[in-house]
Amino acid sequence: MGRLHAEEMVLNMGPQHPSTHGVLRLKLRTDGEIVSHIEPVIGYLHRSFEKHAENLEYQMITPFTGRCDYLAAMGSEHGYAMAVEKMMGIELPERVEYLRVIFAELQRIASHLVAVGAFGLDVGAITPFIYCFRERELILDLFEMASGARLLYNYIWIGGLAHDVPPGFVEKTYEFLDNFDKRVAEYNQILTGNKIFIERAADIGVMTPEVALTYGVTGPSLRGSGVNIDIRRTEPYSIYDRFDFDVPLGQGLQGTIGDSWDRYYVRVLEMTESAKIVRQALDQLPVEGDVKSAIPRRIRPPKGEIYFRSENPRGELGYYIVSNGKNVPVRLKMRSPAFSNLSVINEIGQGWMISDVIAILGSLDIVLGEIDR
Amino acid sequence: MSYFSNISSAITTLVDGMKVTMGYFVRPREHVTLQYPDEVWPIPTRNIGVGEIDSYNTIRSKLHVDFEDCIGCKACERACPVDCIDIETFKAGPEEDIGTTKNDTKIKLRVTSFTIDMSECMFCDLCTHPCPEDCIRMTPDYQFISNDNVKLEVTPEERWRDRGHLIYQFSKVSPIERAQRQAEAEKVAAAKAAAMEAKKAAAAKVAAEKAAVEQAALESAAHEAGEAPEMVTTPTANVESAPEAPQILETVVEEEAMEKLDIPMETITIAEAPVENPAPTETTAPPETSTDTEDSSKGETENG
Amino acid sequence: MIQLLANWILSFDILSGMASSVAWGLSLFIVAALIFVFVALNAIVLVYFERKVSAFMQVRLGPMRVGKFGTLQTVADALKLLQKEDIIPRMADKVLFVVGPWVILIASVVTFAAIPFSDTLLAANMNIGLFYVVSISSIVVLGIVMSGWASNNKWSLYGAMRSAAQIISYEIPVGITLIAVVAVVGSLNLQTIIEAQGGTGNLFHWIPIPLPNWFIFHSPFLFLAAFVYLIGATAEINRTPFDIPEAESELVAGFMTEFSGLRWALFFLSEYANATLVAFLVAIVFLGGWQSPFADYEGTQIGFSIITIVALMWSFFVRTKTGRLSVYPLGLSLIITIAAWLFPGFAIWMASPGIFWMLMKVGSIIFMLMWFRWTFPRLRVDQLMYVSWKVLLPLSLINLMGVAVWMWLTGEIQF
Repeated sequence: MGRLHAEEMVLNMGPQHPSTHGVLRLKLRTDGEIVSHIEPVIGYLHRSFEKHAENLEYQMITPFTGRCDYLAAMGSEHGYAMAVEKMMGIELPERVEYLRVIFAELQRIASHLVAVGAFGLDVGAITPFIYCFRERELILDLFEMASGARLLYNYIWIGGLAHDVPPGFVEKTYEFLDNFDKRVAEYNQILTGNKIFIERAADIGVMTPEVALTYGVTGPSLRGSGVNIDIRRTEPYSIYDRFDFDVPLGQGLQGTIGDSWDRYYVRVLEMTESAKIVRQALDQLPVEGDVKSAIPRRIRPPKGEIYFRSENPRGELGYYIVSNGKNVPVRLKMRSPAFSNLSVINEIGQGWMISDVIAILGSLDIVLGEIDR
Repeated sequence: MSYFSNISSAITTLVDGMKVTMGYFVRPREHVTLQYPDEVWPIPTRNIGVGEIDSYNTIRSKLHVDFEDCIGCKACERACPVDCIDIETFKAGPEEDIGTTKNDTKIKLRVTSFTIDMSECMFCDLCTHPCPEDCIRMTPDYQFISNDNVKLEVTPEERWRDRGHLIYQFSKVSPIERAQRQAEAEKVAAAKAAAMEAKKAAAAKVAAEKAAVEQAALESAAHEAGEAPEMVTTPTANVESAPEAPQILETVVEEEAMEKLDIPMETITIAEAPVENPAPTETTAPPETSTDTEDSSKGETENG
Repeated sequence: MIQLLANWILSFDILSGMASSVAWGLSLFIVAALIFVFVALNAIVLVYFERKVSAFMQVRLGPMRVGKFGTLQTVADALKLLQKEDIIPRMADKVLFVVGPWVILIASVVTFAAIPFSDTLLAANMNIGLFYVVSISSIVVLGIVMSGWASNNKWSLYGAMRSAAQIISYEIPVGITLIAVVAVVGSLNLQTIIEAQGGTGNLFHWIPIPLPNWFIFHSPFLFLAAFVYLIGATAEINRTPFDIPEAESELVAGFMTEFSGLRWALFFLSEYANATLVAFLVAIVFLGGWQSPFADYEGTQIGFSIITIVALMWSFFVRTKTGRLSVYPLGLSLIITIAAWLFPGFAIWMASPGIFWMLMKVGSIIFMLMWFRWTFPRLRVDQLMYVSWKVLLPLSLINLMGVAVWMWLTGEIQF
């Protein structure tokens, strides 16, 4: 008798699903429980950001950049502002640079809190998700104090900031940082070290460095495979070269290097590193300085093009801007890190069970707003 | 052996995790839930030194315009990325006194309609910064619920027009005055158009006479040559475009002059421009205050 | 108990003319109705309990609006479910779709006939009580597979298949663990099992700490058996960490996806009925059922004083890193201690067996089940099977043999 031939089943994890982080459709071809092919179908959140930017003036594009990656809006605005400033050759006052770093790193902590919590939710642990969001609320309060909005800020303008931080902001941030390390220890106690969680995440979805680099994966997903590429270190922008922080790499502590647990753990460690950076920046923050002094009256970059990359919480966020001297860009392209991160799911998801595919997707930390733009 | 170490590590880590949740269970006072609307999270307030109101520019919610201070410069309309502000202004007559703003700026335009469509607004706060009189700002009033004046029977047309009470009208000008000014403007525009027509007709008549003379000459010449007379078309296009060219040139010249002045963004004064009688022959546009980056075609104001 | 009720009915002068068989039949119906009522009320209370417990563990409040502190929330939810539209998918197998939830519910409720709530409250005093409970509760698998198949939905089918595999494989360690207890008692009658746990004795027979004679303190093997049974039972009732069949983040709601309104309420009801059943079994078999932990009223006073002193020490010396401890447990135990010392009648009542102690034990086991659910992530299907066949089954077999050896060592049996 030959082998029992079972039909392959096509399973559709549709756009509406509690576990795909946004409106993502995954077409899974499965043989029983084992997945043989994954095809992500995107485009459900496409809002033509890049085309729209061709009709908006440069300072008007800033709120729209935040809406692409809505979980890390400060990072998107920061990258865009730096791209245009580099084109125009604007020199920023020190206070602006320090404040921008503080906001970018706080945003990194907030984004990683969502990633960590949502990953726990995907594997079934509901409580750590709530704990992570409690900390995120504190960060959002800080952002609300500074910019007036909780999620989409329009705060990091080209040439400076929208307003200066109010009095009391620095004290409140110190307060947040003092409590934060204890909370991370708590997450480690309830989730990271949990044997069931380790069983669900370790050795799952192993991504070798070659595969990661071939597919263009960047950010914590890449560093989880042991590759030491962090744009804040390899091509330092802003004032990141003044701070002392480590770049955590995946070491396969609970399984093989490059599995989902490593990607998750890199994010947990990055949160503590970002807290270190924020503390150093607060200590060195110059008290004098006008945050609006370098904002140009008219933003008309000279003719030319630029590609500027920065380290988003998800990876390398790149902006490619073509200008012909007017105050409206000719072409604005956003290289979104989640797009490249998602493309690797077929490679690393094959041969695992459906529950594992969900865990792998959670460990890649995608945001559909950024993928579809 | 790893079998036993697996089991023992499982037990220890699971018990560790249970300690955390139990710790939170016995401390119900640490809950982070707020029983809205009885308990409300305090809105951060800060005084950033602009305006005398303490809550200026705190959280970004509904827009508010102090209409008495609005000069109708349309800087906010130009700055809005989603075009949700719609301002209608009419120039005030030479003897009219509309008033002054709180910064002692004389108001020269009558703003008859200032609507902001809050359903389109994306709360980006770009409109509040260019205002030279600080009259538009975002208030911390985040509740869009309303318990009063809720019309339950609305036609679909009304719902679309009104967007569920989300189109805010800030102008305090009465509809009668607005209708009056619109009628006046129409009359003036009609008179101007009539004058233009008259001028065109006069020019056409002159050209026609000239053409008739030429025609006669041609005819006589053609009679000799035996050809049919041709109609000479009067170049009417030139007459129409001629008055417009100076208009464009003037605004460009005005802008460059403004650039050279190097006026910072925060304090903009209205350039004193010669305000002429709205006579039909003159078509110069008195320069509206261009506060910042305005090359896009949104800067056309209505001329009275 | 049915006989008692029948006698009580016949004792009324008006009804004395009734034939005794009719009285017996009437009391039968009344007892059955009481069991249904208990299951329904139990579900209402447990849903509220679960929401509050999960909320407190997650640093939030839970339902607070409907009724004082949200106590009427479940009633509101039940009313909402009752008035929903009854949707049956087009290509679904109508008969199985309708019958499936009822099979699960009936299987769960019928087992309560053999459960003793106190020394007199027992619907059917069966000699094979334990065997009856375990076997009837296995019919739940049938209902789950019926519901999953009848939904005409790939995802539901997945959930149903996984659930069937899970429940069947966890039946074995659960059964063997219970057999270990039966070996100690020598009877399958649940009332006999409870009565064998009266009085006080030493911890593990030789360590001189005075503890009630419950089977969990009988020997280290039965101590282990209690936890093996608890883990196995968590898997039987499809609760996290074993809730793959209803994995919310993977299969939406697993085999329950297509059911709406009243049918979904039936699923919910049966889930909590199963959980209560399992808690009752743990309480009966390992924790002494309706036996009070205090032998007499002096024991009550001393016991509660010890509890209060421990709670006091805990709140003063054992501080956690973030915040202080709640004073409610300490206050409660202080009040009970003072009442026990002041009113010997109260102490006597606390020392006497009855439904109060049964419900306390059942409640604490259910609290443990909720504690598990909100702390742990979910196990994958193959890991679930691994736990059942490679961890729990060997442990339960070792338990069985160990109990026999222990009983020989302590002299309870002679060869």
